Amino acid sequence: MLFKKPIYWCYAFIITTVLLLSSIVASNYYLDFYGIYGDSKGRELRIYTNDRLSKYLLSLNYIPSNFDGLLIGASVTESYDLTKVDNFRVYNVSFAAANATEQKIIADNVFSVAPMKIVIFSMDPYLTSRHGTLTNSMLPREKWRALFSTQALITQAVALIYSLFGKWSTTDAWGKKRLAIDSNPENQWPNLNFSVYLRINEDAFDEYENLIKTARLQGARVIGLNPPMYSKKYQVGKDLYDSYTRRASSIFMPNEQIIDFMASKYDTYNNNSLYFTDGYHLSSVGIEFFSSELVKAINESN
Amino acid sequence: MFQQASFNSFEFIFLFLPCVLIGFYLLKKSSNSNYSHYWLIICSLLFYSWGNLSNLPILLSSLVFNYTIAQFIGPIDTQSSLRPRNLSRKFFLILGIVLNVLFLSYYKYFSYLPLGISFFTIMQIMYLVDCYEGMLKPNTLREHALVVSFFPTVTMGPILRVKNVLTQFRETANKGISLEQLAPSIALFSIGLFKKVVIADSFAIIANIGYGSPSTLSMIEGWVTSLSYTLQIYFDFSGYSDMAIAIAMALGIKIPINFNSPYKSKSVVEFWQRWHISLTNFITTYLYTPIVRSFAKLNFHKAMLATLITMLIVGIWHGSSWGFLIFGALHGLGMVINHYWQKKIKIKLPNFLAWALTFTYVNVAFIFFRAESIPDATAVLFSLINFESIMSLATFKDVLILSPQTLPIIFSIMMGLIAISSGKNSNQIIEKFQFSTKELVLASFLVVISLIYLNSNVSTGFIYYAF
Repeated sequence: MLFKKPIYWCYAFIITTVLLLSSIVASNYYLDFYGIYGDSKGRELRIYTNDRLSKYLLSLNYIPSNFDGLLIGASVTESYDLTKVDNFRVYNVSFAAANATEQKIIADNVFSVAPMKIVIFSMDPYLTSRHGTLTNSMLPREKWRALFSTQALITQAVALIYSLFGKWSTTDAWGKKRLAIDSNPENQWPNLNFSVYLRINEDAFDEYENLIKTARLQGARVIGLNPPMYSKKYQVGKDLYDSYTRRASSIFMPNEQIIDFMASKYDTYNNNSLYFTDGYHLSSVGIEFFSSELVKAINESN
Repeated sequence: MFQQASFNSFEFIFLFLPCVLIGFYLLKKSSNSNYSHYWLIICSLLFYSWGNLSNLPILLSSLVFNYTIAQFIGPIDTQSSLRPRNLSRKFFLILGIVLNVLFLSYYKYFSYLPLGISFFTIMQIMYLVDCYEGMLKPNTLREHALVVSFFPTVTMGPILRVKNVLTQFRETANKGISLEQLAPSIALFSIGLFKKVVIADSFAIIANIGYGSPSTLSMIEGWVTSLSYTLQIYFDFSGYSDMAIAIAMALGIKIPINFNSPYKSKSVVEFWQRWHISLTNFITTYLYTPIVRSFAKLNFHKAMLATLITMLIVGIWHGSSWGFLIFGALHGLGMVINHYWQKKIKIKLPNFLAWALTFTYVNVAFIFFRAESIPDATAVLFSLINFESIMSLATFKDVLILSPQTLPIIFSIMMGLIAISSGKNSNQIIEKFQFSTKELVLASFLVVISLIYLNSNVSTGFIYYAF
């Protein structure tokens, strides 16, 4: 169809573009995948893609509205299942390649809306090996970008696939990451450079310490979690690792609980390669066991 | 609000540009046409200085200096009242060119680089020469400011001949604006915006990863890296040029195209006839021709020497690094080989072979243009023939693996490849523009997708803002 006058084409262009844009914005506002634009109490929001950005957005409203506890960590704790913790609803804010800066941003968002009753801090050295955000996606502008961005479109597409086929959700409504691989033969594990892994960035360490203090100040029960590690890997950098653990433990108050999965009572499990996918990240068997141990330890001290 | 004056920002698209156009159209209807010109000057200076006010005195001083020098050069047939009797027009021309070159060199090589300085300085050198040659009378200050600071072109070209633009401003001064041009200009702007924010910025992600770790690239990664940048720079620069042409068109000014499917070229000479056409026109007329004229007796070898010298200057114009110099030298050498082949060997290569050789050569030259250093460029260059590691994707593992996060990049790359391989470029599309529903839907689609990308994390600045 040809337009009678050029100006009609321009008017039609403006109307079409505005309609297209509005429909995208309206659909994202209505679906509200991150629970930002309305009351998200009682909703169960999964993450479909991009854990880092999604957990940031969920921390603005969804997490403080529906949970009263957090698990702070990086990839080694991202698959822990905390649904069975008594008396508390603990959201797992850990994600791959997270550091103290990024976890602090998320925790501060949550604390600014509602105080948490329990905060579990992973003592994973990775959290303090790097300072600053890895991407520029953890900024307030993301709240508006969620209405209209490639990320929003991808989320819509993946959510649609999930609703049709039940696949591709990366976390459940409690932030627990779906495992990418169930297990991995030991001979295929990568070699970790301990000196890099255990390199402490003092700014990051200060941020980690400040985060614990903030949690404590706003009345949360603070718990330390020393995650498990395959014993052969641990032996390679034992001294460095123990030294880090001692320093990290010193941040916690004497009356605060530290759940130590490197303790000798867990040797049987830490000696078993089937519990790990690369020596540090847990396999499905490992996740099941250590999650239940973590829940048990928390529940016993309740 | 503006980080830097840029077409690919929400502030520009939804605030600045509509205000400029509405103001311009309204003032065009007024009895005094000068009002619309003053409006454009104010908007252009605002655009140029937004985000970095310290750039403004540099543009203004260049503008006033060249305006003044042009008064001294004056028209051929009259004795300029300003010019001292004992000093010739040629003296002021040489003075003007030398001071412009020094001005450009100082900022380009010894200080921070003000936005668009390479472009508006070249434009004004052309203007002084044209004044000297008697092709136009010196501008009034208003006219000079209007053309030189013209916001669609001030930052990244196309490099305009003052005479061509000024004639149009004068001719349209007392006419109303034709809204017929608004629709194709919207369509062209949509294409340009899509080229930049969807295609170029996605290729940039891949190119940046490869050039960030040049020593670890496998053969396939080396090719992907170099090709990504070759495509990035084309879509980036031609996208900008499309937007500049579109905005000027909406203001009733026709500015010449800057790109004409350069990657379809079958020789390096043809490449430069299709790539950054306004720069090619400048170097042909104002660099190559004077160099050739300076030789007492011109022969083939001297013409080739002039070609080499000219292309070396083009390389240096881009910056002071060895990479730019090698980029210019490679293109000069490529042109010399082309001419030598045509004149001495006289064997016509099959079209596909000629295209493949030219494209590969251009791709290799861009490695030196993009790499941070010569060792980096050499590393990328050797990765192209890295038979020890052919198919590894270790360097790209986070970007090239199929996952939801990489879908926008994959979509953009597919769009880029479709655009490159399809028959028509943006100029040809706009030439055959019709006020039809098909064009309407396509333009809306391009704008909406572009805005989605613009609102995501992948948007970056234009490459030629650095020149």
